[in-house]
Amino acid sequence: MSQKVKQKVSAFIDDQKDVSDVVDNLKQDKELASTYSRYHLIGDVMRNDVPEHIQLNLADVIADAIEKEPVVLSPNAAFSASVSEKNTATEPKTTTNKVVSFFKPVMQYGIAASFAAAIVVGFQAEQASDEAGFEPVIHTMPLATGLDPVSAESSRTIINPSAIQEQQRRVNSYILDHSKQLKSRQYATPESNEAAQTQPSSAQE
Amino acid sequence: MANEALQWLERMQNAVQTLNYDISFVVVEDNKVHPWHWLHGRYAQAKSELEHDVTNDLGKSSNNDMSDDSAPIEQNALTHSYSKEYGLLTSLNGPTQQIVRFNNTITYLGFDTNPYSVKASIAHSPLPELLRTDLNHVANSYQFNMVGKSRVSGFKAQLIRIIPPDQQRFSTWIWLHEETFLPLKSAIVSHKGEVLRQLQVTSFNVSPQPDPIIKELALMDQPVETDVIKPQPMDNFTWQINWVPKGFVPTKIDKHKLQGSHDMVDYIMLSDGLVWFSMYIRDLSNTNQNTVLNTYLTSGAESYLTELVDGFEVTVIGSLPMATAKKLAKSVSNKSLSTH
Repeated sequence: MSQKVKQKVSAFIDDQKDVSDVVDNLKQDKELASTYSRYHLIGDVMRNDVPEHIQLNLADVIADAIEKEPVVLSPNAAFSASVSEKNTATEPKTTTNKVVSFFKPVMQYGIAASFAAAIVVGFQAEQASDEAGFEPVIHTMPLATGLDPVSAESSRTIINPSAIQEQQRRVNSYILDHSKQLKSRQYATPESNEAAQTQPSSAQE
Repeated sequence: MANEALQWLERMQNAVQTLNYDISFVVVEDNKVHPWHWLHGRYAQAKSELEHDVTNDLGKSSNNDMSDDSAPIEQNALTHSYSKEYGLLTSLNGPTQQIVRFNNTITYLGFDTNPYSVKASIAHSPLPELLRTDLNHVANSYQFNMVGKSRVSGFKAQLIRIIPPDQQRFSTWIWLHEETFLPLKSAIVSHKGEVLRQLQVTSFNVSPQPDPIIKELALMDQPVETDVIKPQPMDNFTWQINWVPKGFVPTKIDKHKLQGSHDMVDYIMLSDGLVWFSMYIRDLSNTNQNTVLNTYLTSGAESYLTELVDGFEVTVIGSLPMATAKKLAKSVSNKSLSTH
């Protein structure tokens, strides 16, 4: 393999590992057991089984934690959520590994965080400009310019801080789920339209 | 003209799936720039099995190729039937994320706590769905317009606009390379003409042979599809969505538990071939929660909406204008209630 290729590949592989290493890794699952417990911890964080005050920079905290992870193997048997739920850490591993975690898992948090950031920004801005004595106001107006009046009209709600946390947790859940759904989306087919008993009525306007 | 535009788009889809290319691009949205690298190629991967056939097929034409240990010539139509499609999309800023394509299996690395693979023709990626979607379905609602030629990324490009029939969704503009039909630029544009999300190719190289990295990829063990938790099928979807923009049909309906939460939600995904959006409906009557914070967020072309509708929490997420998301949410009603 030419030096150029090596460099190119190593650029893709976070840990500057040689490709042959990685290919070898594809066929092994040695480090699984030790990395599993860490995944469980991460899974707990994802399921919010963590201390009450969820920091707004949760995604960063997780990202930081994950940043310190070595390159690891991971099972291909299930989504992270199901893995954590099944408590498979104690079960013997029978699956072979074909997929290697070359990289650190952050992206989905990234997506969620970018939406969540929208809340935070609005929230802080409101707090700064509001008179003292008011409950915190969450300003959940879309950040994009050119708002439709219909959404601007009802975009302010006065609420308490724990409700904000609950809301953020929920928003993150939905966004992560949507992102997961998009990965296994299907083509629209007439059959699925019939199978679905919704039969949404179309409107032309 | 519409036919001609459709032909361009069909050629684009063919080019995206068959050519060997090395493309760098940036995605611009909300004043953020995300650079990506996109490698794609075809490679006759099961070489040992096919060697015999391939040498027979190519015996006359590829004598000069025999010293090279690389794959048979890619342009040969015969090899296409043997060769498989490989793609590697890599984010260049921040934590590395990769989307790897092994034919119709997509592996996501760095996207979740575990990497995983799914069978899908369209990946959830920074690339427009248009590159691989069913154009006939898109044509049911959208118009394809040839607009004009311009210079994009240093090349002559043809602009094609995919225009929605209404103001309920966004337009897509795409600039195609005149010689290869590969995309050089695309944009999602609101009906007011605001560019919400843009993809711009910054370097572009098409080659007869796949990149060595594609070959490396082809020689790796194929990923095994991840077992997805089977969602509960919904025998009876009890919700009536009374308003949906023309052309949208449901592509998925189920009941499942949200990741990172214990809430069961009723789920429906709808698509018009270009946009896939999600609707979640959560019954609050069995929870101790009786209020919902109405939430409206946007990010690029994506809208997020949660509203309380008739005692149910309705959430809409997708690449739609906020006004459409709101109208969709408001149109949800419960069938069993409405029959009383």
